[in-house]
Amino acid sequence: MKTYSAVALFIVCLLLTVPILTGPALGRELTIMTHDSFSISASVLEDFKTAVGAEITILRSGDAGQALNKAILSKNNPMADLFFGVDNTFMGRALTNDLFIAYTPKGFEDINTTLLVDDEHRLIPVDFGDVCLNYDIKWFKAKQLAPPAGLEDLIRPEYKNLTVVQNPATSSPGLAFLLSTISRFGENGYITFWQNLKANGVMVVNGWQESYWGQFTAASKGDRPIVVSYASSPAAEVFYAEQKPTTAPTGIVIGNRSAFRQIEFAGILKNSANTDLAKKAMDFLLSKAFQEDIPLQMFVFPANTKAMLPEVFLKHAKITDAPASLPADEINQNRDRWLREWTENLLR
Amino acid sequence: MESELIIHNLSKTGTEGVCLLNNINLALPRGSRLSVLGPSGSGKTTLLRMIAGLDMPDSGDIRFNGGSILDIPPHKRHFGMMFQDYALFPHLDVFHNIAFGLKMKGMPRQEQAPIVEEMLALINLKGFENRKVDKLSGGERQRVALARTLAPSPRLLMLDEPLSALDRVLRKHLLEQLTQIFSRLHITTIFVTHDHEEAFAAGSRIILMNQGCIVQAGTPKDLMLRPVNDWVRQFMG
Amino acid sequence: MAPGMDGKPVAVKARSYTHPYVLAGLVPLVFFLVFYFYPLAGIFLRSFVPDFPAHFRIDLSFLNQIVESPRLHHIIWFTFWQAAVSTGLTLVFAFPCAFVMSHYQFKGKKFLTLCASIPFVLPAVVVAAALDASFGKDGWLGILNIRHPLVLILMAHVFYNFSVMLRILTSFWTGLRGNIQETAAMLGAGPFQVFIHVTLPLLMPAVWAASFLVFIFCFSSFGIILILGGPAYATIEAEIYRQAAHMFNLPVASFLSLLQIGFTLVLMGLYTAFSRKAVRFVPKAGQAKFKRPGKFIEKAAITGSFGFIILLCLFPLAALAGKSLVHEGQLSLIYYRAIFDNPSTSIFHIPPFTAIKFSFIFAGTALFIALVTGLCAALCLNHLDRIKAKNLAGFFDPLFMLPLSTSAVTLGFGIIITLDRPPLNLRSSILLVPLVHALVGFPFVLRAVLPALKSIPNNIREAASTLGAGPGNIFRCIDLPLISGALTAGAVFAFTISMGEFGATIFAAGPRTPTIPLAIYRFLGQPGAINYGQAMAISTLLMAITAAGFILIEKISSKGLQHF
Repeated sequence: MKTYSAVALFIVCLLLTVPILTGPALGRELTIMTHDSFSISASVLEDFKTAVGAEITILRSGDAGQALNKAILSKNNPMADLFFGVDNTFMGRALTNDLFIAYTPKGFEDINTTLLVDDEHRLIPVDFGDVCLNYDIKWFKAKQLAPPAGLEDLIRPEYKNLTVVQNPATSSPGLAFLLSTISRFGENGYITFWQNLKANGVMVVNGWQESYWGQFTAASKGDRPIVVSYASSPAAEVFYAEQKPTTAPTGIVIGNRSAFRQIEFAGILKNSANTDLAKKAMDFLLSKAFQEDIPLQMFVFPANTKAMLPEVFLKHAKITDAPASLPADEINQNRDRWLREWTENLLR
Repeated sequence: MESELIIHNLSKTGTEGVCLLNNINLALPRGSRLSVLGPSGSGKTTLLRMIAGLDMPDSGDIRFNGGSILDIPPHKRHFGMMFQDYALFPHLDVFHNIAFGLKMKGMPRQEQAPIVEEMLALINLKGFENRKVDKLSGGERQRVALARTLAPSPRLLMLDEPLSALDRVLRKHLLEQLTQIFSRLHITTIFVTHDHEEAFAAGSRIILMNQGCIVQAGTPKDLMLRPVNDWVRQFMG
Repeated sequence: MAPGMDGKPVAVKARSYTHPYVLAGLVPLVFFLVFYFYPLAGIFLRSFVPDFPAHFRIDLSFLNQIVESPRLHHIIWFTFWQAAVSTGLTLVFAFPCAFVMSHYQFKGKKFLTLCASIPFVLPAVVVAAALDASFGKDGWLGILNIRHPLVLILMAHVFYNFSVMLRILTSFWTGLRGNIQETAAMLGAGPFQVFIHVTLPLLMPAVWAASFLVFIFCFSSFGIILILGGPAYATIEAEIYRQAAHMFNLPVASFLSLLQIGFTLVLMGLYTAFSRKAVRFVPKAGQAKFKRPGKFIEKAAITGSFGFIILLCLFPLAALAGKSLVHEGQLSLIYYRAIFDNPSTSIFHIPPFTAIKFSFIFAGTALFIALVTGLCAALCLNHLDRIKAKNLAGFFDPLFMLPLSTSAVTLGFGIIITLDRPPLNLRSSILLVPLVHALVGFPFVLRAVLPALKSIPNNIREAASTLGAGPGNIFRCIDLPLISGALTAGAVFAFTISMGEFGATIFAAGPRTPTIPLAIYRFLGQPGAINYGQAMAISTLLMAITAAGFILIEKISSKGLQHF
C-alpha cells in the first residue's frame, strides 16, 4: 500500500509540472515593467492595447529604485519590453548600466523642453512633478500650530514626531527629497540636518504608498501630519473628497527652493524580443490620450505641452517656478555615496 | 566423473594481512553433498560467498561445468544461497518471498503459483501463502528461506549455518527434514556449519577448515577415525 | 586439483565495474556544482573581482566601505545579539515545558505535542503575519501597544523556535530518565541532587545542541526581520537583500554573503559536535515510563505548561485566521473571495490567484527534482558506506548538507547574478525557482531517505541477487518498496519547504511568477484594509497547507521530525 501511495504522489507531482511544459499564450504580448505607483484608467488601457496591437501586461515591481535594480540585475534576460518609471534621480544608474535603446517617438517635439535631459533619446520624459513636503491643514489648525514653512522647521521641537519620509534607496520621491536637502544645505551640511531630523523623531518607511496611505493623517489612520509627497497631491485630495471642498485640505511647502523637480522617463529595454511593439507603446505614452490621463491617475503633470489639464489640477495643483535642482552629472557621481551616508546615519 | 564445481587455488587476504582463504582446492561432482566444517573465522562463510559471487578472491579460479564463473555477477550464476539469518524480505508475504526467484526469471504469475504451492508442501507450510514474514516463528522462517532458495531450481545449493539460530530441539528436527529434502532433490549441496554432528548428517563428504586452510578432507569416518593431527582430533571431540 | 583448460593456472580478473548506485551519485553532484558552487563562485568573484570577466582586477575598495561603516558593524553585532537573546528566551520557556513533557503522562499530551510543533513548520512570512495579526496596530492584542520592532522580532523568534527546542529537550530528557536516575537515588542522592549532579550534566550537550540549532535559525532569520523589523532593523541576511535590491551595492552584498556563509558553517559545525556528544550521553531516546500526576504542584505545572503552549503556539495562528475572516466587524469570506477573483486592472500588485497557482506549480516541480536528486544521493552515499569507501562517503555527506547552512538569501542572490548569461542562461526559465527550492529541500529529502536506506540489512540485497535480481531489480523490488515511506515523507518535506520559501525566492522569482510568500510580503507592505485582509487570508491558506503537510509527514514516518 505504501508503494501505491508513493506512486500516486509521484503522478500527482508530474501532473502539477505539466502546466510548465505547456507553451505560452498565443498572440503577442507587450510587457511594461514599472513601479507600484503606476496607474492607468481602464478605457485608456484599452486604447493602449489597440494602439500597440497586442495584449499588455503591467509588472509592478516595487518602488522605483527596487524596480530599476531588478531591471538591471536581469538585463541580459529582460523581464519586460519597456520600463516606465526611471526618474532624473535614478537616471544615471539606468544609463550607466546600458539598459535602453535609443528611440525618438512620435510627439517628441511637443515635450516640454526643460524636461529633455538625455540627448541620446534613450530615456523619454513622460511626466513630471515637484516633490515637496505636504501637510494636513486640519490637523495643524486643531493643534493651533503653524504648519511648517520650510525645511528648517522640521527640526524644531514643536514639530517633533510629526514627519514621515521615504527611504531614498527605494523610493524616488524619497531620493528627490534627499537631493533637495543636499541642494539646500550643501554636501557638508545635509547630514547634520538629517541627524537633527532623526533626533526630532522622523519616521522612515520604504515607499510612498506606505507613507501617504499608511501614515499621513489626511489620508489614513496614521499619526504623521507632514509627509514627503508631490506639489500636485492636494489636487488628488480634492478630487477624491466625497464633498468637493473649495480649497485643498492639504498644503505644500515649496518656497525657498525646497521642492525638487522630478521628471519621470520611460525607455525601451535592450534585448527585448518585442522592440517594435515597445516603440508603438512609447508613441502612445506621449499621445494626448495617455498624457491627459496622467494627472488624475498618477497626480503628476504631463510632459506633452499640448495635453490639457483637468480643472481640479488647474485650481489646486502647483508647479514651482524655482525648484531645487542639482546637475545630472553630480547626481550620478555622488548618488550612491549620498545614499550610503544617509543610510549610515538614519537607519541605525 | 566430471566434477561440476571446481575450486582452484582460491586465496584471499583480508584487511591487516589476515589470511581469509589460503589456496583452497576443491572438486565437487554433480549431485554430491559436501559439508564444510570449522570453527568461526575459519573461512567457511568466505568460501561460500565467493562461490555465490558476493565476494571476489584475490587469486585462483572457480569453475562450474567446465567454465570459469569469476566474471559472472551473482544474479546470473543461478546458485541458491540460504543465509544464516534467512534474510527474508520483510515487505513481502510468504508467497512473494518464495516466488521472488521465479519473478526474477520473468515467470508469469500463473506459472509461479503451482511451484510455490509445491514448495510450501515440501516444507510443510501449506496455507501460509499470505502470512507476513515477521509473524513467523524461527523454524517457520528457516523453512520459508529454504523454499525461497529452492523454488527457482538453482544449479547449486549453499547453506550458511542454516540451523544455528534455532534452539536445540528444533535444530535436530529441522536437520532431519533438511536431509530428507536433500535426498529427494539431486542438486549439488554445500552445507556450512561449526557443529560436526550436523556436518556428518548433512554431507557425504566433509572438509574441515581452520584459519583459511583445508585441514582435512574425507568421509565422516575418515575424520573420526583417522584425524590428520591433534587439532582435528580435539575438534572432533 | 584440476588446473585450467589449458593446464596453466588461471589468473583472476577482478570484476571491476561501477555499481549503478555510485553512478547515481553523479546526479546530485552535478546539481550541486551547477546550482550551488557555481553561484557561490559567482558571489565570491563579484565581491573581489567586480569587473569579471571583462578585467581580472581584484578590487578590495569596497572593504573600506565596510570597515568605515559603523552601521554595518552594528548590523553584524545585532545579528549575533538578537539570536542570542532569542535563544535564551526560548530556552527559558522551553526548559520547564520539556520537564513536564518528559516526565508525565496526561490527557491531551499527543495533541499538545502536535500543537507545539506546528509553529516551526510554518513559513517565516506566515509567522510574521500571525504576529502582526496578534500584536499589530489592528491586531487582536493591539491594545497592548507592543509596537517596538525588536520586541516583535524576539517574540516571533520564540514563537518559531520554541517547538524545536521543546522537541529536542523532551526527546533527550525522556531518554535520560530511568536507570541512571534510579541508580543515583539508590546511592543516596535526593531529587535535587540527582538533578544537579546527574540529570543536568547529562542533559547539557543536548541543551547546547538545541541552543545552537535555535541560534542558527535566529541568526539566519530573514522574512521575520524584513517584515516585522522595518527599515531600522537589519540582520546580515536582511542587509544582503537590502544592499543588493535597494542600494544596488553588489560587492558589499557579496561580501556579506560570504561572511554569512562562514559564520553559519562554523555554527553548524558546533551544533553537529554537540549533537554527537548528546547522542553519546543519551543513546536511547524515549524509553522512560511516564508518571501520572499526583500531587497538586505536579498538576499545576502540567496545566501551566499546557496553557502556555496553547497560548504561545495557537493564539497567533488563531489571530491570523480570525483577522482573515472578519471584515468591518463581521464574519465574512470577502477576503478569500477576493483572492480568487482576478481583476484585470489590478489594484493588487500581485494577483493572489496567480501567486497561489505558481506556488503549487513550483512546489510540485521542486518536489520532483528534490526527490530524484535526494534519492540518488542517498543511494550513492549508502552504497559507498557499505563498500567501506568511508572517505568518499565522509566527504559527500556534509557536502550535501551545505544548503542547510547556507542562507537562502545568499543562494538566491548568487543564482541571479550567475545564471543569467551563457553558458547557463536560466534567468527567464520557469525552472529557476523550482531548482532553487529543490536545492533548499534536497538536504531534507536526503535526511529522510538515508536512514531508511541504511536500515535495510545488506544480506537482503545479497539474497535477492542470489535469486537472480540484478542491480535494477534490487532497486525496484527491494530498496524502493522498503523506503517508500521515507520517500513520501521527504516528498512532503520538499513540497512544504518550497511553498514557504521566501529568502531565495525574493531574488529568483520574476514579477510574472510570484509565489504566496512574496504576495504576503507585498500585501503586508501596502497600506489599506483590503490589502491587509488579503494578506491575512492568503497567509491563513499557506498556514493550513504547511500544517497539513506536516501532519502528513508525522503520520507517514514513524519517528516524525527527528532531532536532526
